[in-house]
Amino acid sequence: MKKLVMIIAVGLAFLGEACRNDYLDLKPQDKITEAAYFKTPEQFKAATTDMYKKLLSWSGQDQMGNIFAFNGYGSDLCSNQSEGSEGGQGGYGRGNITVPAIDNYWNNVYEYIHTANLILEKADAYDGEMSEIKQYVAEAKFFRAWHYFFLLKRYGGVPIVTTALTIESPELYAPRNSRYEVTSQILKDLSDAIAELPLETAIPADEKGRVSKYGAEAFKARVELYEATWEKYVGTTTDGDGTSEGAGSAKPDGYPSIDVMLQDAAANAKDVMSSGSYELWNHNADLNNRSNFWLFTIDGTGSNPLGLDKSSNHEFVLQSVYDYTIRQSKVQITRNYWKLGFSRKMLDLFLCTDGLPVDKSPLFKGYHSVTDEFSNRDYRMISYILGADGTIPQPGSIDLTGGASYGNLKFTSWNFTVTSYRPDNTESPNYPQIRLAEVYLIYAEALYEKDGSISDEDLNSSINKVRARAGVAPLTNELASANGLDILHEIRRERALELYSEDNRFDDLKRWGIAEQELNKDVCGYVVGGESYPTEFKDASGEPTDLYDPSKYLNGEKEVQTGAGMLDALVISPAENRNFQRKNYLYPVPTSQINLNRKLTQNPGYN
Amino acid sequence: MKKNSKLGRFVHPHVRKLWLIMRITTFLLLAISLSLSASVYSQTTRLSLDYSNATIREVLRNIEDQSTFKFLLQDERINIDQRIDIQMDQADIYSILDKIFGDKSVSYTVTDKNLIIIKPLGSGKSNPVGQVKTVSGQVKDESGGPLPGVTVVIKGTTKGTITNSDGNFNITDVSSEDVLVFSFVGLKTQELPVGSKTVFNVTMEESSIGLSEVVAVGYGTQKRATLTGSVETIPAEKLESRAVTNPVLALQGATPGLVISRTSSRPGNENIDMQIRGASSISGNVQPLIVIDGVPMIDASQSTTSVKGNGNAFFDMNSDDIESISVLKDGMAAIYGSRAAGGVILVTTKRGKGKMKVDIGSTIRLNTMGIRTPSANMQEYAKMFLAANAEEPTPTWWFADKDVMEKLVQGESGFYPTAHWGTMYIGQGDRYTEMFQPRLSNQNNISVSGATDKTNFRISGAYANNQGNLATAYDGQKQYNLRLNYDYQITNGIKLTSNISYQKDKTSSPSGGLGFSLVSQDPPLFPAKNPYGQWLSNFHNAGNRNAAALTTDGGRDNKENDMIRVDLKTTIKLIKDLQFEGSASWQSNQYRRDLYKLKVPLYEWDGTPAAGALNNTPSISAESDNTFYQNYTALLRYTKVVGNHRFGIMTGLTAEHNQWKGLYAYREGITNNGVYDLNAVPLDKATSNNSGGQDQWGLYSYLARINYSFKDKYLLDVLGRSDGSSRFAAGSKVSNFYNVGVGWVLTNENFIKNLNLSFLDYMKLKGSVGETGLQSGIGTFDYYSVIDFSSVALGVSPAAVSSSSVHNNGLSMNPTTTWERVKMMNAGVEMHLFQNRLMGEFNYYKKQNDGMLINVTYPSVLGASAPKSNSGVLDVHGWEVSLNWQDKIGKVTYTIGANMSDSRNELKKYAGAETIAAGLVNDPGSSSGAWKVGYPVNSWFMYQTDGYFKDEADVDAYYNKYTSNNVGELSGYEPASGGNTYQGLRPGDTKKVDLDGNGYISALGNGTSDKGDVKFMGDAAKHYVFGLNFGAKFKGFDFTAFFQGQLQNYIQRSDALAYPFVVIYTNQNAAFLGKTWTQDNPNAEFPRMSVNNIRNRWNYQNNDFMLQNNKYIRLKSLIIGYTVPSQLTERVKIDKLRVYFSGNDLWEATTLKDGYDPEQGVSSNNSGYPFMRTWALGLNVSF
Repeated sequence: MKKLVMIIAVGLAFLGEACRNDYLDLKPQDKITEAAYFKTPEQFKAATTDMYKKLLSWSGQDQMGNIFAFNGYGSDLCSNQSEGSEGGQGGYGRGNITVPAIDNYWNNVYEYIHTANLILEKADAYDGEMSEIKQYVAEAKFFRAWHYFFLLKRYGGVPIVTTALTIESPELYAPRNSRYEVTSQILKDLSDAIAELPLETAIPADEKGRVSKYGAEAFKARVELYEATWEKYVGTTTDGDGTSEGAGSAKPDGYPSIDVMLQDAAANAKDVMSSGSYELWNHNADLNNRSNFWLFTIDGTGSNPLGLDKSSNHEFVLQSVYDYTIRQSKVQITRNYWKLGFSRKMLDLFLCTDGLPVDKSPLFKGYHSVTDEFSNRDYRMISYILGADGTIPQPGSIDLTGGASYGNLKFTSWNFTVTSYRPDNTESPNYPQIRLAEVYLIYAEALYEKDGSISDEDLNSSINKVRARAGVAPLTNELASANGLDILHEIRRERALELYSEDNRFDDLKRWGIAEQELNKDVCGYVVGGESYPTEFKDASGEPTDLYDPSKYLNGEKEVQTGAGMLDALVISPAENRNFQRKNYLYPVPTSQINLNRKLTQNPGYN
Repeated sequence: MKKNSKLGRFVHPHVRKLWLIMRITTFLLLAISLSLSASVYSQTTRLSLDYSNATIREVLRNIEDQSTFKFLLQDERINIDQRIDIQMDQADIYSILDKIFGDKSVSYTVTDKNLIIIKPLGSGKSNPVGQVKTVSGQVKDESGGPLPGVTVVIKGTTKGTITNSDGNFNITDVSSEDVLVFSFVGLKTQELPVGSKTVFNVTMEESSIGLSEVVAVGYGTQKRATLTGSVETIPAEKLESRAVTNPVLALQGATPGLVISRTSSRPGNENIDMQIRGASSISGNVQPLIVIDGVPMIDASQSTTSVKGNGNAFFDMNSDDIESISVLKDGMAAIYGSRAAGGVILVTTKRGKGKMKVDIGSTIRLNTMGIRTPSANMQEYAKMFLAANAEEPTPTWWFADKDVMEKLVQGESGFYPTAHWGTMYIGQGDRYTEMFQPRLSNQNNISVSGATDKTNFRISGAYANNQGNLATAYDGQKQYNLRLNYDYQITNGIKLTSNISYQKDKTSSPSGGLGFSLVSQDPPLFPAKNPYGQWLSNFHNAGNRNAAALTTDGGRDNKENDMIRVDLKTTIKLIKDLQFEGSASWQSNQYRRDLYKLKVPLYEWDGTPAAGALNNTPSISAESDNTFYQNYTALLRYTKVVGNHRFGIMTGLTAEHNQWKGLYAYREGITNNGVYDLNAVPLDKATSNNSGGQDQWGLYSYLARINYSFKDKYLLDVLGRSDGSSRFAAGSKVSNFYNVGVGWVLTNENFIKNLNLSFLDYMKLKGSVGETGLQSGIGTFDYYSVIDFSSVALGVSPAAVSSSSVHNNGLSMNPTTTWERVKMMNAGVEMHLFQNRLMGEFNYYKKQNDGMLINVTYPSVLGASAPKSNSGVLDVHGWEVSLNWQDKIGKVTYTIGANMSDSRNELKKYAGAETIAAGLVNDPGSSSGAWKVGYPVNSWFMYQTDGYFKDEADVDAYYNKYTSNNVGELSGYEPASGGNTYQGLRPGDTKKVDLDGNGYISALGNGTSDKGDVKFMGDAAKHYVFGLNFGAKFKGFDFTAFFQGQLQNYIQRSDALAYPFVVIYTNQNAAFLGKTWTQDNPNAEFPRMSVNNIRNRWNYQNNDFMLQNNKYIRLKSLIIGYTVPSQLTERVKIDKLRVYFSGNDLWEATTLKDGYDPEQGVSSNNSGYPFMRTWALGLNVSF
């Protein structure tokens, strides 16, 4: 008995030993391993598809806020200058930037770049026909360029990484590349991408949203215009020496000249414009001239009176796709855009229908009554401010007991308060990454910057299409010369108006080299007038009316240039509190990154 | 050997019989109660000797070493230096003594604790004087149960008997001058003079010494007296009569070094955390490994929303099933290798013994409300709003104007105009009275147990229903337990042991409304119902929160765990001294969660439907997962005594596998039709959601332990384990862990004995060095790079297009990454003083986690989180002390116990650059990743402040000094900075000190790690954690008071109610009322109250004065019991009847300034639920 038991016991022990590997050599049961992946075109497709989520839009990049940090809170055009509001950029326009320890906009973007690098490396090792995956390789390059451009705009030159790094990679401790080297890398990737990306017509309906050849061209045009004008107007003033501060001014061999970049920008824009795949969304006839309101709210057939859904939109050249059932914005689009009100400057930028500015147009009615300001103006004024309703404020309807200006309705959901068509966080319009209107404006600006002039023909084929939708007379060389208008200024005005709240204003001011100048002026609200200019808020004796409670306005009033001459307006943010400097053209590099890699130099002025 | 001149009489045949019975009883008792298949002690009852030409002295000494027998020679005439030959195998002590002394005419008497008194024949009192009679009686244990097997002898003789299975005994021919000696292993020996009595009813008390106590130490047991490690044992009585269902809650403060915390008293949602000897790693709190009846409990922690994480197998145990709990704190835990760094808790369940017995226990508890969140009521809220606007250049009447607030201060409800929502009814929104009431709970258990000489069994069942104080709906946990422990001795050498248990918990709560939204999120101005009895919409038509409505009608969150566990074990004696033990344990946990959220319409004050509703998107989700854990162990045990040397060797292997499988499904659109299941909701493919998941891990380990002792004086324990784990790549799977312990029992040294220190009964010095492992924070397959799948919306009519990404961009764990290893060192002293009345133990320990797994921070250019690597070092040290005094004053026996422990740590190495921030640094849970070497885990770095601005000039001077170049934090507080916000500093605001003198205020300094304006002010761990225990017994009464607390625990309150107006639109913390700066109160404790939340951040957050020392003492438990005298209960066949009062958390004192419960944790969100006090009445019946 004892022997038997012992044999069994020892036998069991050996048996146990034999199945040791059953306990130790285990594999993941609900995950495919990387080693078994990237073997089919579908897998490359899925991998690049994922990168569409990383585009900054409503829900933004992972853990990284969203577009509200970039849509222009705190700019010279915006009445909302408060700190810590949704945008988080309220202080930026005043030059109020602290050097952060950590900046997710640095961290996360390099993650996206890594993802693109990884896909490109896997593609190099792909066993099948390269033609099967060329679209996805092109997309990966496009996204890599897209994210480097984000870094370029924010920090200037940054370290360029084009391989999937590991913790042993020496690139981790490399110095910054200059902005010219970064630009060169972006342009190279985009050229490669453009060559292999499909035409818009080749992208099936259920894949719309994928980047087409024209999407890449439009983006390349944007990059080229940006960098050419930056070099032209800002030059090397933000570059630093590259050793003690900044990323330096080293230019790679064969770096394109400003003119070549502008030329190419115009050419790329032209290619998109003439592709036949895109057209401005213009339903003015049926939508009371408010295409510029409805375009941005298309969110299912219930989102506009015409029942137009996303298939009606051929204006967005590249867009982030949202959907009420499968991908809601998960942010309060409507509430956040409401707060993005208009500064005095913005309100006065809207032209009168004759194509002339308020200070020149005989059609402008002034500010005596709140109704006057809206007469004979650019449709975008009523689109953005009055939205679907379109009811011009009646006398007495505005009282100044705290509010400083009109709220914004661009991008806000129709009937938000009345029927809750799209409650908070469920609004799901597509986000326009690049739309045709911008391509038109790039074309006009690039040509003008290159040549110092632009033909009526070119104006008509670009900017005037945008103006036409806004109900504004075409910009012609004659109109300009007859009224003493500067065509470049008018093109820039058009950008401010058409692209309002679309992640452009700060970028534009900087690349034009005028950010200090424009941002450091008083930001004002309503014109309250005074003795010589009675309004609903001040009577002819200069006394506040019942509609106006000056004690609510800490910053008081100030006489500023308006469409009706020098008049008193409410001050939202006084010039003495605004100190945007040249150094603020670039954000500081987060200190934790400098601590980790001492070769990373801080941008000038932040040490 | 001591010698004594008293003589005795030889009564050989009686003694033989007595010993035979005793041996069996002892064997059974030990085997049963200790779940010990190869008990050292059980073998000592049969001895093997092999001597030729040895002196009797040597032989006796060897028997002493081999067993717990001691010999006392009562007469020098016995020649023990005589040489004899003796060869005996597995003989009992009497056969041996007969053989040794043979015809030497001696008698031997057994007394207290197996002391054998050897006397020459014919000596002693041969003819007792006085009346000769027969005495009888019954012996019981402390619980009132009959105690079989107790030795009853006439003192000075070997004449006696043992009690039968009913505890009864009967001795004839007893003189009235005799003294009866009652003895039993592990219990206090009693001597009672016979006198005129003929009936003796004796209650045996447990021995105070505890040295003979056998302690579970992992894969075996050891005698406490010869232990070299730091092991705490918590006997069953610590868990008895406690009005808690979860045994862990009864352990709070019970033993030094084990810190148990909870952040709520909501049944099933206590959020329990256990920590042995402080931090072990920066990977987070390392929980102890919990081993129940020798097998680690199932780890169901993969369940993401599991009710109680990985603890439920222990938390849901029936406390009444627990015989004892051992806590392995030092390197002794290394026998559990890679999971031992957090210490090990060994739970041993009760087994049947003695006569069949039924025990019934029942308690009914009243839970009342204790400390509540200090959120303001209507008057306080309005008062705070007025105060915060009083000094404000741009007052913000966010809610309603000043005159409205002034009315509210007066407590006047009514219709008022508001800022954004028109005119609305404002009244007292007191959710506490609306939603909370004292609630009854109950807990019941029954067990039937017993033993024969071949088997023993214990069957038990328990049911508990614990309810929190919520009055609007059920909020609580029901628990069900069944257990059968059954052992069967097949043959002399083969024994089967089985444990079968089933436990179930059902936690049911409202689907929401009990966190932040309960009392803290909204101003307290909205009554739950309108005059028509309809749920009121707060904020007029904009409101979508009403906790009373949501908890009542908003659906339920039901969570269940069903756990079944079967353990089978066999022990087989292979050859002399060698035993095989094989065991298998299968444990299965089924988790299920059903969460449904129903739409609750809301109404205006006037009864019209409101625009908003609660749970606007009604939904239901079901989650189910199953964990199956298998454990197989094969062990060999060998014990050998050679001369003065005693060896015990254990070696074996164990294999474990854990498999988890989960499912989740979600549908939208559930309606309140009484059926709450996924199937009751139409499937909408667009909004439905589901997921699966599987995971597994395995361990395959070899282990060994060697115990050696020389004369019970010099002790050595060596143990080791080689763990193979599936969590690491091939080549790195195996790691070895060990511990070496030494002990020195000074009181067994002759030179100490010779000092005749009458006060010193026992003293042991001990020390150990070991190394344990840690796998927390390591995923099951971190070394594989895997693909994550999701989808992206694309298309003109958007549809989900599948997408994939390489997890963490392919940066998976390096193949060479391996376990965290914690070196452990322990040095301790144990002492028993003053006739064992005072017992004390002190331990000092050091731990070093070398090669701590951390996420080394690389430059972000890397583009992914760096995989964990063994690149950190954490040093930990601490001490524990416990003192217990027990004595008697007259008929009152009393005990006083105290214990305290502390643990400190320091981050010694952390690869990557340091980053500093204001607030918590070295916070394992932080995403900001602020690290600083040289400081503890969770260090507080706070701004130093220098009071508050006196006047405008003071403010101006400050601005002039510290606003340079638009840098630093002050630049965010410029006066009148735009829009309508104005956050410029004013008199009454906080003056932060420029500690580094760089001309501006910043936590970060100028980008270098060693500068900045914050200073270290302590760490967030609990320090000087203590327990105080007072107990007394008098006749049938018993009393226990147990206090628990801590003397140092730095906290900064976080989230919405951390300080006034963290957020302007929430409710506020009323504890700050009257304590803030005003013109009239310039020396207030806190700075100015303000409605500007940005300035408030400057004024309060991370400032030195906001750090509180959360020192507290709490009356955890108060028990007063009365046992009805057995003379009364016997008549109704009841062995024992006890009634008691038991209270929990009835009183506390705390140094917290902001009004929170000291146990609540730092977040002020999710904190509306009041802590409860428990008042229970209980009953124990045994028959």
